[in-house]
Amino acid sequence: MDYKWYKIVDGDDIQQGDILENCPVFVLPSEIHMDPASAATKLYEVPFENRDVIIMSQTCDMVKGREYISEVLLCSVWKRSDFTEGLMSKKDDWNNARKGRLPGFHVLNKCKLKGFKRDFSVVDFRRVHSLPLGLTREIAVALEKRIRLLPPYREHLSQAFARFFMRVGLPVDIPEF
Amino acid sequence: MRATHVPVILQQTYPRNGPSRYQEWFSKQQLRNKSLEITSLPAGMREFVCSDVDTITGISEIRVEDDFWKDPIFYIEAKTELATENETRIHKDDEEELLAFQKDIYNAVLGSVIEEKENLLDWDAYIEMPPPPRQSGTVKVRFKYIGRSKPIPIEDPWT
Repeated sequence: MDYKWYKIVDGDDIQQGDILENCPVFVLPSEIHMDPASAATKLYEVPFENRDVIIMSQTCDMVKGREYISEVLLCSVWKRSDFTEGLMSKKDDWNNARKGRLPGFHVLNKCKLKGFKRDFSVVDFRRVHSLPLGLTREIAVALEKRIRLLPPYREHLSQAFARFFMRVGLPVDIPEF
Repeated sequence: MRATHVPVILQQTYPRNGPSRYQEWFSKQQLRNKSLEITSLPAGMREFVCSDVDTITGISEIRVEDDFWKDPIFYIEAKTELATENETRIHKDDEEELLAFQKDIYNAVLGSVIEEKENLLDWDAYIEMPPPPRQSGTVKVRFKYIGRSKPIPIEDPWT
């Protein structure tokens, strides 16, 4: 049985698992003072980067006309070829991430769809972003076509994110038996 | 004189998650070398190595056909024997010595597996320097304060 990982979609009907390539991510500098009195008078330069991101918000919260969120949660997605040094630059790191030993990451399969070929990639749960829902729809439309992670891989990703986010570190662990 | 059997499950030869044929062969070699190492100890050396164990015999392989996977499962059975019952021991009683020896064999054969189980999850793995952005820039913005935000009104499903 052929359980495909991805399919190609278009339009502004965004869902969990949609990958938005080159999505602008705004990185607010720490020196910005959000003082209501002076914010409107000062002009700030806010840097942005284009990153590949994947939508983590639940699809049912983004149904058109029945939106239950105003901002969409996104996670950075790095391609395997993006890494030349450090963590995830070695084969062992990718194998560990694939086996779930690095809970902060989730490996996605390569995409072989025509015109949308992608290398193996990794979702970085430590780099989360949010964009207004309307803007995210506009970005999705501007891309014309995008790839969508399909079930059950989408739920697998969501579960991995939940597991990472709900982690609890014990101050005093039980010693080894 | 007493003997005990140390069944060492060398491998589940399931092609999906078992070790390769080479790993299997390598593990067996390790166990045989361990046996040779112990049996080749010259007389009188036992005190030096603080061990009463001077022989190991009967390294045998048991091959079991698995009906479901249609693949053989390998077991290695190592029979260990305590050679003496005299008071040559220094630190441990016989049971402890034997257990230590068994553990040694397990470590020799399955050492890497045991090590692998430790620190299985690395919760702190972190990409310090993310890959450089393909495109970047700045936007000039003037922030406008619009007051405290309010929650999105949602119909109560229980009414």
